[in-house]
Amino acid sequence: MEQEDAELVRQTLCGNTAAYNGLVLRYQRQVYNLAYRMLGNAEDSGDLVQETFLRAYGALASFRQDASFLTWLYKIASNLCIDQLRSRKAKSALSLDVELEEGREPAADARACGPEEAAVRDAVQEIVHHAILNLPEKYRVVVVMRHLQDMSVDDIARVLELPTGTVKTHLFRAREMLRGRLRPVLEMETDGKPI
Amino acid sequence: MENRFEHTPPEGQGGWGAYVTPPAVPGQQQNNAGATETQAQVGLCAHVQDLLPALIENDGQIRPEMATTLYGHLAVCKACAREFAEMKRVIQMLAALPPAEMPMDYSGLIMSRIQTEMLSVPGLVAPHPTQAAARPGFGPSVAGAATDTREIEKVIAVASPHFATGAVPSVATTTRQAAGTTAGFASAASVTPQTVAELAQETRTTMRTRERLTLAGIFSALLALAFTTTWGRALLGANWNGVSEGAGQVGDALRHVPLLNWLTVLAGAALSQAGGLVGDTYRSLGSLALQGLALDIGLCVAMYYVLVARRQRGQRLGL
Repeated sequence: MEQEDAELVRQTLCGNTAAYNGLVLRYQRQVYNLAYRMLGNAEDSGDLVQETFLRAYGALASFRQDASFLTWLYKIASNLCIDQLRSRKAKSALSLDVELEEGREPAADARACGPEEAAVRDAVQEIVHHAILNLPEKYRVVVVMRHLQDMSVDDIARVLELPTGTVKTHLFRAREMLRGRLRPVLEMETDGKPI
Repeated sequence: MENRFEHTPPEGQGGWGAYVTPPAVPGQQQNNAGATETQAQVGLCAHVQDLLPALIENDGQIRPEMATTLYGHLAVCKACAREFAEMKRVIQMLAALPPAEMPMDYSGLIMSRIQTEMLSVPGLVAPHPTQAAARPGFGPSVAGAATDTREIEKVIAVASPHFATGAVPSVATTTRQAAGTTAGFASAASVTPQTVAELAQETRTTMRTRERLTLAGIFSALLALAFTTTWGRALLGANWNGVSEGAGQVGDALRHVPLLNWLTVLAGAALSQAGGLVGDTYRSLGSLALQGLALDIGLCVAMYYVLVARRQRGQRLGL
């Protein structure tokens, strides 16, 4: 995969824009997922995907291939996400609740289980999604990268330019916060009520 | 997906039951006294709970024998077992979140924006010198500039300054403006390796300078008119006489305030004197029309450089 990416990058640098389209098709979903879990709504996430690939195209000559292309994209996308979140915080114009209403994730496939069970599962997923969005941004980004994008701690450290120990600490604190916010769900499970 | 739970207990042998007699955890004290035992147990649980995140992450910090010991403790300690189960459950909940479904395929939009916003503006973005050289409109100096990645990143950053504020569409506007202001530049056969953004900034600065020079010229002409015409001089003289008289009246009024008597006398005299002095000065200048005009223009130019040019420089530096 990385060799294919390297070849597509090389072709793009030689002027073949169709090769860059291949990279976009390959990775737009991952970038969108990161953006969606960080920003919480579909519209901003779509804009961020576009901006990430535009910036990546412009700076492609600086991509040194010591990390994977996806890791490099995540670096650009996470910086843009953090900028966006800070800008939002500064404006404080929109409440998070409104944004979340706009960008609900699609309902999970109800065919895999009964409709009642699927509804409960969707509700839990919604609660988890909200809990992630309520984390401070520095904790949110590590949780999303580690547990949703399945990146290694070392890769996260490289992308965020943080020491590995700091990433682990942020992960631990983020999970503890999530545990606190998901306490009602966890207690329901412990009490034997199916979730 | 990497296995984060490599250190799993042997479920086939009864799960936690396999560890009903756990080996000693480092730091654990064997003590039979009731209170001391409880204290030691609390300390032990705290120690185990500190290690649980590393056990969950399976990050190499926990050796196999330590993992066995920890699982042994979890088998007999309900509090720690619950803590561990909750940590794992949170991670499972996170992992169970489905990937968000993209509302559309962005590739067409991205490639179209690359074509219109980046490739259609010579000098704005050239991912590689070979591409720059291959495309018409790129002179060698632009190709050379394109190899400087810092330059490229700067251009991209400038071309998309509003994303952070949420105004993404303005990227296109900015780029089009930049392209428009440098239309002549784009068609030139030999171009300098300046970026479009810098050129646009320079153009804006030049326009501001022209506007301000024009205003300064109009202002100078009005002042010159006031100084050099009879009615202008009379107007200024009358005004300064009025100022002088007004200042004198203020001084007189303040003199009647008991506590400030001596001070108001001085202030009134000073104001009156100053008013008279300024009035006389302006009348003298007015009588010397040519000198007045020269002084006026000189003052305006000096004011322009001190106030306007300094501000422009600050704006250019982003201050």
